[in-house]
Amino acid sequence: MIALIATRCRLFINRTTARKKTHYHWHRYLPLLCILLLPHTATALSGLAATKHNLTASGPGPVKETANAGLCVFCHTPHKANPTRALWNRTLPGVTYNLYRSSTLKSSPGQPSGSSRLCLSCHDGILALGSNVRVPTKGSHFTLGPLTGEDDLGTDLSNDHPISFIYDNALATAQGELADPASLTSNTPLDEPPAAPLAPQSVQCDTCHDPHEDTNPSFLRLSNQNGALCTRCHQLNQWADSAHALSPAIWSGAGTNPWPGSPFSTVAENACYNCHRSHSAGHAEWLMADADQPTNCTKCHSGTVAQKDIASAFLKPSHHPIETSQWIHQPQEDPLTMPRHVSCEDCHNPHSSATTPTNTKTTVSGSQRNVSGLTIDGITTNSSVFKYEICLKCHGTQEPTTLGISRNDNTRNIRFRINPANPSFHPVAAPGKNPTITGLVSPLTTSSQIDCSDCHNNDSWIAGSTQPRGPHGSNYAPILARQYQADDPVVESSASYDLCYSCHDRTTLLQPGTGFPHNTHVVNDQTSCAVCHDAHGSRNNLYLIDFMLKTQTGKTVVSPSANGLLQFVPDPANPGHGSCSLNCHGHEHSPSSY
Amino acid sequence: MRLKNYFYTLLCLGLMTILPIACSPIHTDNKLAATEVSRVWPAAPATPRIRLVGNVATPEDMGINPSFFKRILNKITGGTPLHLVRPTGVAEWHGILYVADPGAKSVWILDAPSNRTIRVQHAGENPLLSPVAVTVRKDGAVFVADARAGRVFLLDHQGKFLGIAAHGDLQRPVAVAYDEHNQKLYVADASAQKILVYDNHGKQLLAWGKHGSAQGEFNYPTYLGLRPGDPLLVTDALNFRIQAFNRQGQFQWQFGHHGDGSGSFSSPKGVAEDSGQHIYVVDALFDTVQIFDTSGRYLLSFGEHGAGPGQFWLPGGIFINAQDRIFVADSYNHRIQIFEFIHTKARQQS
Repeated sequence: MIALIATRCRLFINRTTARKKTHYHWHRYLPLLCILLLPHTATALSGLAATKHNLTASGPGPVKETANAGLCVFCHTPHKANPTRALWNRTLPGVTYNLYRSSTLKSSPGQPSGSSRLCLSCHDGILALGSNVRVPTKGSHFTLGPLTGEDDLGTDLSNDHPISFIYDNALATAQGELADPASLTSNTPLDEPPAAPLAPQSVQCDTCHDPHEDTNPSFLRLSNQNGALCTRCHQLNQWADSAHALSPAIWSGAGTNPWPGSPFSTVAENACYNCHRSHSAGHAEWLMADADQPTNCTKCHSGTVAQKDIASAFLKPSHHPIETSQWIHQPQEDPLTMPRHVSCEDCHNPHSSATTPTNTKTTVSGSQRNVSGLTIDGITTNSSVFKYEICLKCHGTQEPTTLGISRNDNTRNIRFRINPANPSFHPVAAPGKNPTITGLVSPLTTSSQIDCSDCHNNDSWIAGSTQPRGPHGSNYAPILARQYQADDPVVESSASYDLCYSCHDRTTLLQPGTGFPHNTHVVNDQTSCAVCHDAHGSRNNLYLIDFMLKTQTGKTVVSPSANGLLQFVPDPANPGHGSCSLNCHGHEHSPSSY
Repeated sequence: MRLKNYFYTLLCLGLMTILPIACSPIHTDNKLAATEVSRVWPAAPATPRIRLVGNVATPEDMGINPSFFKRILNKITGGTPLHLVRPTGVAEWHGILYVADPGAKSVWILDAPSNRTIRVQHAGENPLLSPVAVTVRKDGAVFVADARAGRVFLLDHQGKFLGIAAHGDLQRPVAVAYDEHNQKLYVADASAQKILVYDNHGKQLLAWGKHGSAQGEFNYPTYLGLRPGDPLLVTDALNFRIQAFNRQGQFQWQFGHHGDGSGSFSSPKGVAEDSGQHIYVVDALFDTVQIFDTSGRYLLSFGEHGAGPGQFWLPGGIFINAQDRIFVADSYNHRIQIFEFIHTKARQQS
């Protein structure tokens, strides 16, 4: 009986091959498949017969007698040698249809072509449950934009992996992180139009799914363990040694299950599935799992999978507002023209982030590998070298629109402030310029450098703890590691200027004697550090001096003196001494020297 | 002067064929140009039986234009123009077109007489997950089969939720048909391999069918067609046949066989009947609608693969109204195409 079926299959195949060229030569294996996959015994189903694609009236389950011949016919329509002539049109003979090959009309973008038509003729949500198919709407050749862009119908049509598009060298080169299509072997085949074997080949449903074989869940051709299937085509920079590719972390059971329906239980094994869904994605662009952008990260980075609970930091009063500017970030955005926004992806590249620590104080650590930034000279870079370059991408381009302190040199563009060409600056971009400074807390020296996170940090972070380090959120605005009251007046205490005192020794600073009388001003007159100093740098003065004209709430602090001057003039003959001309709460300095 | 007319006609015809190819099908010129020759089937010299009337992809195609104020608002807010996404089911009542569009997770009510478009995305508190089929009642109420929610909802002609039309568990309701005469609702449950019958209160009265290939058995019943006074037609998809039943669920007749030639079925979808007892069966992989008589004799097919007028791309459901206007859900051309059966003396002789 098996031989009989095999013969029939072979006859069928010969007829079809005589008429039309087929794609990727599946037909040669069909008789073999029919022999191998048809049931060998009356009771045990194996191969195709045991999968959901056994569409005979018996199906998987109790075996029943069926009138239908074979399993193959449901997809491989039997050829009818004598098609019927239409009674209302006797002049024309019957026709044989070309079922899943476009005729002369090239498959228009936006519509399934080739073998995908066969899948979608059943997977329409009616005969079989199918998700909406995402077929690209603009052009067969894609640049990154249309491939991942919003469907212009504004619907959820696009929340599936795209199909029926040509995947050729031009696409691979343009996109930059795609494998050379020539390297794809038959285990992830591209669909080839039969009439033109050298014509550009397309990705179809059967590039990832083999409808005959359900060894892997969902008929996948390869198990997607460790992202093996996805990475056949998607070859991302620095993925192989990244944390998401290697981490053995498991889900603690608390919170949301990050891998619903997955057979794998570690981050590394789930790989791409940690964040992406190839079908019915929560957010269509980039096929993200969750419609809420931060949730894609925080569902694991909340202590339930990843060790450190970063999600809680964002609940603190002062935090980067990732929950409000959702889905604005674009991977290739230009920092100089992009709309103002912040998301996890602005500071971290989830495909590249690794656990290797920093080499030096100022260069990016593994967790910020391969992130775009802006250099101190204002040049955009795709892969920041220094940590501050990532911050400058947003904080070094324009003036912020939020309320802030107004100063004599009224810029809040941080890149202007920490510029090593300035007379004075906190040593973020380069070691500081003041060799005479005293009172630095050990181990800091005059040649030390700091990074933004030394001041802008989670206030719960302690070295070596599981609290995440970094400007995620803090109880002290603006995302400060410790308290720093930049108001007027401020009662001095070790707590009021905790941030400053962590590097600048309080006792040394407030000691009356040589140098500027800090004790008089800070303790007696309740003058905040911020009244005279800008914490980032000063374009005009030494010692980070840039007088505060008004507080954040608009209250006047420092005004010009009676002779119309508002300035600090250092004494060139006497380093560490100078004179100020200003008026502060009616106290006239015209000028006052020290 | 005549030469000029010929030239312009040729130019328009030329553009009508080139434009659908050159442009994205979403923005294809869906309307028939005034100078275009209507498409008919069969082509001359045979007697024409089916004529292409037009197609509907957007409310504007139905003549529904947003008010002046709304147009200004859309320009300011950059509102997305409305467009069918992947329609699978269609019904018509008094000039109002109801479209089941699972691609948009919506039922569209394109109300030309009232010049408005209603996009229904919820049935009361229930979001529409996958509304795949619709049918209308004499009072304009519409039944919606939501395959993924496992429910049949009843809405009024303005889209307001009236209630659940079928009480009890349905696995995957994919088709609905309403019999005016005995006021009964017929539902095809594809996974359960059954046809179920409900009264006006949603109570189940009758159910028949099971998985198999004998008469009265099904291998995925996916579409229903019902014309008053005639048997209930069921597309028995993977048995590649149409079965007919009386109102009590007794098998009447069947026709259809599997094949890749005309008159066969490869991927049978919607089924409907016109006033002359001709049975129309949509075939998605043939990209045509095939017409048979009740004995199963193949009469004609219309439509072909493509994105232009009179062409289909994996079409789905079909609905024929009392005036023999034929509505086909042309799923992956993102539109409804409208044809009509031509009543001529020749038809009576056939």
